[in-house]
Amino acid sequence: MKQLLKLSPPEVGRHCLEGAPALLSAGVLAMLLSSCAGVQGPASAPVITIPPQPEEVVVAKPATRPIVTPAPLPIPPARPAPPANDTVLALLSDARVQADSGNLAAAAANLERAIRIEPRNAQLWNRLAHVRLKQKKYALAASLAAKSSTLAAGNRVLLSDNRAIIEQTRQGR
Amino acid sequence: MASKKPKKTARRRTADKNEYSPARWRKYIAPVVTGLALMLAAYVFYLDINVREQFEGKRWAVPASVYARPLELYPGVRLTRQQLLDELQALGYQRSTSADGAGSFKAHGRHVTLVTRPFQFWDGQESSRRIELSFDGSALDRIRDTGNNQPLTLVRLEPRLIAKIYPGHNEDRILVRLDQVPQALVTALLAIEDRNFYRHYGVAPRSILRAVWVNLRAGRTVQGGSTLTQQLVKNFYLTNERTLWRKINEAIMALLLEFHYDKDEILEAYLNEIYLGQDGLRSIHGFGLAARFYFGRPLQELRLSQLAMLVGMVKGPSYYDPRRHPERAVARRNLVLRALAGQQHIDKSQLQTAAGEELGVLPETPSGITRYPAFMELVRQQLYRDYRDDDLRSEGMQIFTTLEPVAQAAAEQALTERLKKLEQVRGMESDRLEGAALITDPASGEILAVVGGRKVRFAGFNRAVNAVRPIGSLMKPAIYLTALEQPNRYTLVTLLDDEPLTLTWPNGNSWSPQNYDHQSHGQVPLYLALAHSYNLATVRLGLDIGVDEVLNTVRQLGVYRPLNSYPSALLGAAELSPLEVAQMYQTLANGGFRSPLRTIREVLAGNGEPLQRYPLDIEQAADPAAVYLLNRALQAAVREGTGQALYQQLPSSLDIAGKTGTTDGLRDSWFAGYTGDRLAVVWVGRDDNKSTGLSGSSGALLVWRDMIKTMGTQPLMLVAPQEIQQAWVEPDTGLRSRETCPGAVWLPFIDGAVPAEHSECGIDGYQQRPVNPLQQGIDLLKGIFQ
Repeated sequence: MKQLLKLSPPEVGRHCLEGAPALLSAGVLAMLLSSCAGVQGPASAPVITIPPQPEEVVVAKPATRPIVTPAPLPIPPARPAPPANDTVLALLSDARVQADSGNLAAAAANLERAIRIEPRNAQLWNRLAHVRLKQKKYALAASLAAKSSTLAAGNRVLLSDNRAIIEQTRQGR
Repeated sequence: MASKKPKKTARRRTADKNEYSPARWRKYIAPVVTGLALMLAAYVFYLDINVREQFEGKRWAVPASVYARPLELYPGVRLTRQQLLDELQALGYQRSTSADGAGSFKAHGRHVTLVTRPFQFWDGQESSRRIELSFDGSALDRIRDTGNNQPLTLVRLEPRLIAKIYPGHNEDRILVRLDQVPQALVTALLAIEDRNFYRHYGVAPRSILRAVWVNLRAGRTVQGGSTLTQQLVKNFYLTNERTLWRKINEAIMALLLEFHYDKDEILEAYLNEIYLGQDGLRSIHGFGLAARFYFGRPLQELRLSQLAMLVGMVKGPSYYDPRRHPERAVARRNLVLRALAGQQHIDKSQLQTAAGEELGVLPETPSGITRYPAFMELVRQQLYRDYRDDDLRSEGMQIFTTLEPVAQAAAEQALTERLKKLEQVRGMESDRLEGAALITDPASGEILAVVGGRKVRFAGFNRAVNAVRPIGSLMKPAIYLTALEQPNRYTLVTLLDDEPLTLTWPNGNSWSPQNYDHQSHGQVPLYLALAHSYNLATVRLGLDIGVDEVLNTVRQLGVYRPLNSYPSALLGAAELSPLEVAQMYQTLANGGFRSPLRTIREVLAGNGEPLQRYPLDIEQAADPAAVYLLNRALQAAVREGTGQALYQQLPSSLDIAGKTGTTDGLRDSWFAGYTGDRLAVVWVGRDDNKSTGLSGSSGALLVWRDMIKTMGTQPLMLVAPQEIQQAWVEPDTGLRSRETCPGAVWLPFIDGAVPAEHSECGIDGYQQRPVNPLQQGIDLLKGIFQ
């Protein structure tokens, strides 16, 4: 009975980078990052993969805990890599254009539409936080950034950006 | 006319009062005539103000339209071909062999080709497009624009109309602009009602004379001589009085109207004003609404024969009602068609085709009363916070709500059928059980469905909002969350004492809570105490952290009703409505972020201008890492605890998090749970508050299960926040273990709270577990590089 609990969905995100040795080539890292950034899920829930941004690659620190003799590992159920969701990408890009041109309300509406499609996509919550920050809705921006962070384990770029948003909302208020 | 009438009146008066000599009354004649003329002028002036007011004002008294959410089509969306066809049917799309006009479709194999209707949304116009949708089992696979053969990423269908907010006089109409009206309708209308419309000044004396002549010869009224302008005036006043005085009034007002407004304005007003039917208290005004009311389609999509039928009905909407008197309606329609042919507007073959067609009227009257009274109650509550009643009833506002018709239908069906089944199986008197259900979207706080009782179309007592009942064990997650927010005191494997206890108050009162199975279970790890809903362990835990602390958590989760801080509150003596429970669980499902539940997305003014948007609003209410632990425990509650019956019918891969609730004497049966994209709360009980004989898992849970099964859902894939570590532990002792050890479980802990001590078997037990094949790849690479 208790064994069943083991089958709970594999945790994602933070383990992606942890322990990856520093000597990995940037290319491999970029590849890994690109798969870590999006939240993993089964094919039934399409997930966005954020394009790799090599200049923002942060080399993972080595594992902080000693790796012990590995016990035989339970094999998680095989899940095919989900395809990038073009719909969400299109909404993201629309929102970016709208936000850049100052149409923040429309950008927010498109990001909310995207969140309805992919509620576990940390990037979307982060973008929405940026839009709300621009609108000086500080409390909301901070909450959105915090929400993004809870979904962004392992994605250092996004985590630090979210922290920066929250810092700015403190200064703004 | 103006000078004649007073004289007549004056003369009659002299006959009555013959004691006055002619010479004596002659000196009064001038002032009397002047006075009467002034009165008449004042009267005409009064009519003028009146008729202009009617024309300017009431012409625009359009009820607010309330829409469901639009169906969003994109590759990968969970939508079956049948669900799409259902939506198209609800929107009045016509099946055709070629799908070539807006509002038509064809289904072929796993594809559906359709031409969307243009629609004004909050963020702009969605134009009409011809698209081909390809389905792959339970999901939409591809969308293709058949015009340029390009793939599309996102298309919105126009939303279903779910309700209207009527003016006090219950007039309903859909405004049309003259340039939107099919030319054939105008031609037919003028041909049959007023051939000289563009030439007269509001009244047509020759038509009147001809009508009088015809009517005299027939000995009854067979023909009216009223112009469209006169008919319009007549329609402004809702009486059917047929006196000469009334006719004269109408004629004056018709002249006045023509003086102030041009022909097209008058025609447009006529098209929107004319009375064309009745549905209970609701009166059907204008051709725009009549098209929907009789054919279920927009006016622009009607065929010649259908337009002719509507024009024919102007003469007597009740007499020629196509639902009650189809033969009369056909005869009248064909008369209109023949008149068109007679005036050379259509040719013989068009006449024959149109006259040979069926009426094609919807058999059922599309009701003006909303099908979703419980949902609408919440919509109104939200609307009336921001808008005036008058504006809602007359300004033609468009309100875009969050109602998801598929979820709503699933909830209605599950509740009504399951309650009936429960009564039958348990030999209960029928219609004794009542219930309520709410479904929301966990990430956005949008309310997708509300069922307020078994009579789902009946706007009676809305239990989803107003039935305030003890919530039983639904309270427990708040207690465990409060504990887990103190990671140095509590983890998922902290051992709790599930032993009997008695609380005694100074006044001698005492309280001895019991477990549901009347057993005590010794030392149990925290997550299992929640999963199995052990009362004794929970009360001890709650008293340990403090009842006030727990109630504070409840408030944080979004329940603002004041609750008594008695220890019995820990076992759910606190009374909440299903809506409040949904708000509380919403915050859990959203990872500790509170989003006010809402039913409205946007409001547009009558002219399509955006008035207001209700944005996604969230606020952090609890530590996301602690909520993550709690959610894992609630998944265990479904997997191995009180919610197990869910997986008898649902795939366990859904990984549902949920909690049952049962109250004293089995009066209330609750289930609250969530998946990746749906949160639902179900209450089952009786209005007289007597025992139902049902626990949470034998009542509400079954409704919940049926509901999810019907509508389909995404698995709950919890994402562990950065602060979470996982480890193998031994639940019986709470010690660190390893995978190969008997009974070891893989559980999450907040950073720094992983048990330090190892069990005998679990020395060297800590390790990271790979998360996916990719992680195995990393491990492999690591091996290579090391």
